[in-house]
Amino acid sequence: MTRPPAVVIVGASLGGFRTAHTLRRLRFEGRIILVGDEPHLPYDRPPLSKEVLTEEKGPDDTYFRAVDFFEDQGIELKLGSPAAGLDGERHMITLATGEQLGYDAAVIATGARPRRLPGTEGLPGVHVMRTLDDSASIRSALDRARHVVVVGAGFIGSEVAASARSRGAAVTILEAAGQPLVAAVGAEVGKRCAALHDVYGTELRCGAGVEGIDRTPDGLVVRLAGGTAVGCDLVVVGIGVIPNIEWLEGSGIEIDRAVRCDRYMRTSLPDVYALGDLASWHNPRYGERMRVEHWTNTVQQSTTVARNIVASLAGADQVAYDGIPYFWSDQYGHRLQLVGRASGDKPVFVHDPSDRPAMMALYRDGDRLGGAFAIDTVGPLMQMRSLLVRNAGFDEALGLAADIE
Amino acid sequence: MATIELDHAVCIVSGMCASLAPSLFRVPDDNSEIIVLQTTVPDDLLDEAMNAEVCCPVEAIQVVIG
Repeated sequence: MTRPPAVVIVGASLGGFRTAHTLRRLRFEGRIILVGDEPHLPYDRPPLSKEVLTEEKGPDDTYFRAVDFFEDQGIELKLGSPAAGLDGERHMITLATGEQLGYDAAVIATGARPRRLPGTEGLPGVHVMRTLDDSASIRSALDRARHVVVVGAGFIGSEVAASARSRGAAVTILEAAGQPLVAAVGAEVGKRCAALHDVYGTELRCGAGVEGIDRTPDGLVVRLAGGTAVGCDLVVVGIGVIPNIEWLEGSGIEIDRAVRCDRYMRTSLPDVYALGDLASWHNPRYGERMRVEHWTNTVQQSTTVARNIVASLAGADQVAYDGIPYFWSDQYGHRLQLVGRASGDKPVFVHDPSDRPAMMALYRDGDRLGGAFAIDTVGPLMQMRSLLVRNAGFDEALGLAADIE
Repeated sequence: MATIELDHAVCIVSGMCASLAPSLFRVPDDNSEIIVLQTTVPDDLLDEAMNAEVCCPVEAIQVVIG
């Protein structure tokens, strides 16, 4: 008798959880072992910088499922248990505890961790926003904080700023670049996003590079390049993430700042897949290698990975992942969304009422539609996504947009 | 064999499903109510159906794998 196949999934956040669940839904009957470095059951991150901070949700409301679910589904949890290494020749994953887990297929879903400001690690009152514990500590710090400094005007920083404002704190965002979000959405659309902060009384200072943070008897002092300083009692740093891939050193997996995958989300090792923030893959839709740090991308990739593991064990064909990038951000009660890519020179504003922040802009990619960004224009944005699915022309998108009220 | 169940009472017509699985869901021109184009999911569209289910912002979609 042969033993049942085992899938070891390293990383128990969105990607790992969804891969495990989807494997069961696809009738995978072997062992599934889900390894996570945090002690918590798998939880969902999007609410952490929004509803959890504003107290509309409790930290416990973010768990995907209760522990019974994992027992019922036969998903073995190894939580609070970071992975230490992967041996492709022996088909073995080693945990920090020394425990060894043999796999028939492995999934690398260890995500990313936030970048920190050098010299601020362990400084009380200085936080990053990534995990459930991060969110819970910021939430409770907001009970007392009168002035909050957010370092970085990206989407996470902006969400934290908006949440802190709604809790009644004065908020200053310090952005090192001359203009926020230029890489993400382009200069003009970035300006519109930044304008929201002004409407809701958040101070945004661009060109404000942080030199360091000092703790004084009166609170925190954020020192800026050029000699000025900002006093506050809470700092949240949102300056991007670093893929958690160091544990794969020596595994033989090809790494290039990210784990390199083919179009099927397979790494350079047979039977090892990767997904989410740490994976770059060849997207056949664009004919390019890309890496996407967004929620929907991770969901879609975990479906692809689960599907391909089942197919591979059955000797069937693999399915390529050709997803279209998409993200959303909720700030001050407004919904910001980008679908596709912020390509081309200048986006065309197709919806731009003067009496409210709502807008939609279309990005051109040659004569095709490349992407669309919207604030509070949810339906039409999703219609643009449908146009991107079938690689529609830019003129067709303009025509469709003409009807937005 | 999988089938789609859409709870119209919960659905907010976000259009997420139609964009992830355009062969299965459609947003009508008047944005009134999502149209399920095929209740029975062909095998080659199962991934799209499951993505639409998971990404629905209000969990109005259930893909029942029989």
